[in-house]
Amino acid sequence: MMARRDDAPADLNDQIVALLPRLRKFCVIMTRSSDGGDDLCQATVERALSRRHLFDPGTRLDSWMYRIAQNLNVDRARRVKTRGQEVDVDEMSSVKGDDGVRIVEQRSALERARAAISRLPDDQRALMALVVFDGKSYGEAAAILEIPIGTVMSRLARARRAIDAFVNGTDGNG
Amino acid sequence: MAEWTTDDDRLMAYLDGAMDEAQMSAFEQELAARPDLAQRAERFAANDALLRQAFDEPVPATLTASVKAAIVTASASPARGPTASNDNMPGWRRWQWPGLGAAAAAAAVFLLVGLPDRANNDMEPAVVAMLDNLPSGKSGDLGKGETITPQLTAKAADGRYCREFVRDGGQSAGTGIACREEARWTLEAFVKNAAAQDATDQIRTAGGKNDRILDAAYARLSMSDPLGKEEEEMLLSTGWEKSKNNFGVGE
Repeated sequence: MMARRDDAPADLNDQIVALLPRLRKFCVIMTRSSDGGDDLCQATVERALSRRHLFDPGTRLDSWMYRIAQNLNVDRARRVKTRGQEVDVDEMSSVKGDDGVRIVEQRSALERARAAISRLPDDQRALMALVVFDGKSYGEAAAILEIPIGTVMSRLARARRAIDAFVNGTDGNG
Repeated sequence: MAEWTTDDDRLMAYLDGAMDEAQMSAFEQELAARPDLAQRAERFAANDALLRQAFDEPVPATLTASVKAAIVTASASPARGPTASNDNMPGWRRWQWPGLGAAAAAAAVFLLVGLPDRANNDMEPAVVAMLDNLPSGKSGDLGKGETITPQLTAKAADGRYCREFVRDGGQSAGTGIACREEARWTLEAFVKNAAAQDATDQIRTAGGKNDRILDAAYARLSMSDPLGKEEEEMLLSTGWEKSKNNFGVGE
């Protein structure tokens, strides 16, 4: 990997702040909770800052930071898994908003959508986060997750079938 | 493309913008001729839209603030020379999840609140006996309807063996981490169950704050990965004396 000095740190800092909404969304999806997403997002930024001299300005900052977030989360998920914790579906499916009435009406559909995502295996959820939520190409997503590009579509198809089954009560094939 | 052999492959490529113009118009003709596939495409597209809406929430002001604070801190640190381009950066913890920053500060407050009310963090004798002897996953009876269940055993960077455990059924229900040194267990972190005492058959650790407290303790102790079953069995059967020599040290 190419090591660079941080020639334009101010600019990089601005880019990191600008990236926050997308990075946080990725982190929330991957940790399956808003609080966990905030923590992962913060840890990702801190790690990125501590290694900014390793960032190649000729490459994409978002991809680099998504990969950092993914690696941090894999470490954490491994630990949580061995601790045998259950995921709290109620917490992860909390939907925030400012309009009380509208929220009550939409709450159940949106909560169901969040629950559907959270039930996916990590590899499928990561692809959904990158491709469906962030608009990454299959090639970019494969590079960030360090998986063969040939597996991307089949995983996305499995994920979407599972989501369809959960949200619409289909058998995923109809 | 050759690898698009199934309907769903083509559907994915269509939904994700991976088709060129010609492929797209060919697929749209196919959709027009096959109502079942068209319906499926519409449903999947609607699901995607619902998902995007479900995660459409603003960045909390606290996160923006703590990120900006981290940037200020990092910018204030001395510039590193070219030799610093390896990962061994003195002064930086190699593993920072999530032991630094605002989350850790918040966790520290909760940690103090959560600790049982006693002068030191020694554990009561019944709990000590259970932590000394119970394999992870097995529950022990503490009397008065209380149980304790070790969850895992791991090793802290300072050489102590530590166990995460769940207490259930009493005032002290919750999840904690205790570390052993010279036959004593010291409570390192404890999260009380808020309202989980009615949940009888299920241990449910709410994510968020609770996880953060335990995660902060794991980070602070630089805990190893959990030990395997055999390794734990050996510790239990040998009375934990292995912790005094170099078993597992210097990984």
